[in-house]
Amino acid sequence: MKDIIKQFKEGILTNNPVFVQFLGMCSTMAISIKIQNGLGMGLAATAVLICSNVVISLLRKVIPAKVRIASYIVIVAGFVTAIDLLMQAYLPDLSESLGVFIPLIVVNCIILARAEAFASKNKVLPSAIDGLAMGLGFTFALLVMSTIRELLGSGTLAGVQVMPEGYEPVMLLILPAGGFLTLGFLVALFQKIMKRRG
Amino acid sequence: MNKALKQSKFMQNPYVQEIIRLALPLLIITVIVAGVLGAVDAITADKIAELAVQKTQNAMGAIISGAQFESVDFTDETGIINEVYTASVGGQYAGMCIRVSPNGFSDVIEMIVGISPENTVLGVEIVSSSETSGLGSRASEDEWRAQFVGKTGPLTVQKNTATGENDIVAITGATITSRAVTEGVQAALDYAAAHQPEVSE
Amino acid sequence: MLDLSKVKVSSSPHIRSDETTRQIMLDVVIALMPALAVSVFVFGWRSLVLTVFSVCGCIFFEWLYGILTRRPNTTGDMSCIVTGVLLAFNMPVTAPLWLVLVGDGFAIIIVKQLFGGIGKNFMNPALSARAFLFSWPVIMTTWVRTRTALPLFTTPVDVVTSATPLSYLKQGLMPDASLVDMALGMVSGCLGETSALALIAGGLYLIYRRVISPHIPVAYLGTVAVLTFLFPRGGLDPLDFMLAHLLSGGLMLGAIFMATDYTTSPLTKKGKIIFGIGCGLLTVFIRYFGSYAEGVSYSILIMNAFVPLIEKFTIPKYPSERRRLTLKKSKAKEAGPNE
Repeated sequence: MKDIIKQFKEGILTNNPVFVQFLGMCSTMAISIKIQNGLGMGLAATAVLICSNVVISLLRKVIPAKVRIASYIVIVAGFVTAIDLLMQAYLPDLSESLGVFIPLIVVNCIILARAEAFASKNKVLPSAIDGLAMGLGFTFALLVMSTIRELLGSGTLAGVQVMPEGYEPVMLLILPAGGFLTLGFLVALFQKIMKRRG
Repeated sequence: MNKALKQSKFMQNPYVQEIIRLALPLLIITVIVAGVLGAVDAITADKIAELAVQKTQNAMGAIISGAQFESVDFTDETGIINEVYTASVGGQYAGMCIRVSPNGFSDVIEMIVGISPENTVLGVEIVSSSETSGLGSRASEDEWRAQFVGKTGPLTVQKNTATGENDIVAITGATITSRAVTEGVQAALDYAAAHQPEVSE
Repeated sequence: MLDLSKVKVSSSPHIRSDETTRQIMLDVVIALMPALAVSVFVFGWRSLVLTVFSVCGCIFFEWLYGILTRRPNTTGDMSCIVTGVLLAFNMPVTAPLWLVLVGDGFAIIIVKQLFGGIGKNFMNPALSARAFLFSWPVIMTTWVRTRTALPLFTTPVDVVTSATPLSYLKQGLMPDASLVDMALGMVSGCLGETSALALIAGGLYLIYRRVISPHIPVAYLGTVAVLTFLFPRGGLDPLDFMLAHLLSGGLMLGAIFMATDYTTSPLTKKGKIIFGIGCGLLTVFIRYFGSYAEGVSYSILIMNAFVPLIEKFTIPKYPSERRRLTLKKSKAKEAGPNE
């Protein structure tokens, strides 16, 4: 039980994939302009992460070391494509707004990194929990980023107008440059807080 | 694998053994994943196709309400026309809808243009676009698209105010998007002018 | 007994940088005054209000950062005043005051101080802030007609807009203003960029005072001149087309006051010339093929990012020569105008 709590703490805070490990920057930057997108991307990546961690952990003794990366990619690509198709069929709106980024989960470093660093060395249950914890950490980072960018960049939260009438949205924040700026400030803030807490 | 093959010189070669040891698991994984994907595709393909058709139908229905649409063959010289439909209301020919995809600021803009039998624009619907939100995305706003209605072309894009009959006022800060949408409407107008007589019968 | 606690021991060079910086900054501010005067004449007193407001904003943020980070107050070197003036010069006169303040904050805190303050920023603060302010593209591209009565402090509404000379050139047409009007500054545009003559006068003063060397402006303007003369658009007379390009937009302001910023431009003559040519090429490319009519600010920002690379290839290999330049550089970085 203690281990599980530790795993969650690592995934969300001390070893957060975005703010600490700097993994999955591409999708983080591109997707975090709306809360729905951030949440959708985060949960989709979490689903893929759990599935791929479980399968890779199951197969960890079967897959030869020399072809492991190729095997991981095939497995992850399979899950991503399946999720992409399912989303297109049953959640068309979300699928449209996430567009090209769902296929990009395949090459999202978080998934390969966890497969390589954790799932290939651990049992199934811890691997599943690691997938969930890291996925939640990624989702948390995306949510924070997209809340800030949507609020200031469009004046809305989850599509609902919250800023007062006269507010002129900072368009730059929903463009790529704004992603870099927001991420930079958040990482600085995150490091500062983590340092203070030791 | 039969015994003879197993004991053959070829299979005894350590390099070959190594390759098989590596490739076989990978092959098996790939086959299983492909099988799963095939199954998911079989479940979802119809639903996805249906959604795409429905989306086009909805957009066309918003332009010419209560009409029956029928896809027709077309020849395209502009390279941006994707589909052509004829519309009929109660068996009466009511114009055509043309799906065009001009190049916008960030990607192609998928849109449908309705043309009346008299070669005027009935309406413009944006099916999907990935233009900059807050600027180019405003092309989807009814107010802006309304200015195309009734125009016959040739259309020109103006920056501030419309002076001529066929002037389109650009969205402030999104001239490229405005030009792209106008280009799409113009392509539809040109196509209709050339082919309307043959399809209306 | 001699009190040594006040004596600070440091390695050479010993330069009284504060005086130098202040003197240089003062010269730059003086050089910008003719353009400000023309701006007041062309756009009215509102342009003076915006400029003064912007300067106050920059001083405030510089002071605020010092307070927040418990560092010494650096407003005394006057570099933030230059940033304030240049930022205002890069905005349309119709811009609301809050926008000026946002730009000031971005320029001073994010672009300048977070990278280590004066002499350490890798991009020109005023230009980066201008790029940031394009978050509000409508405000930043609203060009009011010259000599329109504008409210001094409130945000102007329903102004009569006018096309800038560059938007004509983009379509391959000559501007509706004469070349003389363009040289004098009687055209619409950002508030400090319109008068080529006033800016050139300021530039000559800076060269005379040895604050800037002519390499960058000459290379920059020369490249634009050659390219526009060789490739005129819309079948226009090459000479007219070239002059129109040289006189319009932010080219003079950029070439004389922004591209010459010590901190964000190369040290050697060779490097300066490469830097100027690069700016010129990019400016013409953006003006010809880009989606914006003007490309000066982006050209300079892009070339700012190339400065370390240019330095790497142009700093001499011989130690004595290199030492001379490093000395000059540390001096320059301490001093650097146009922050």
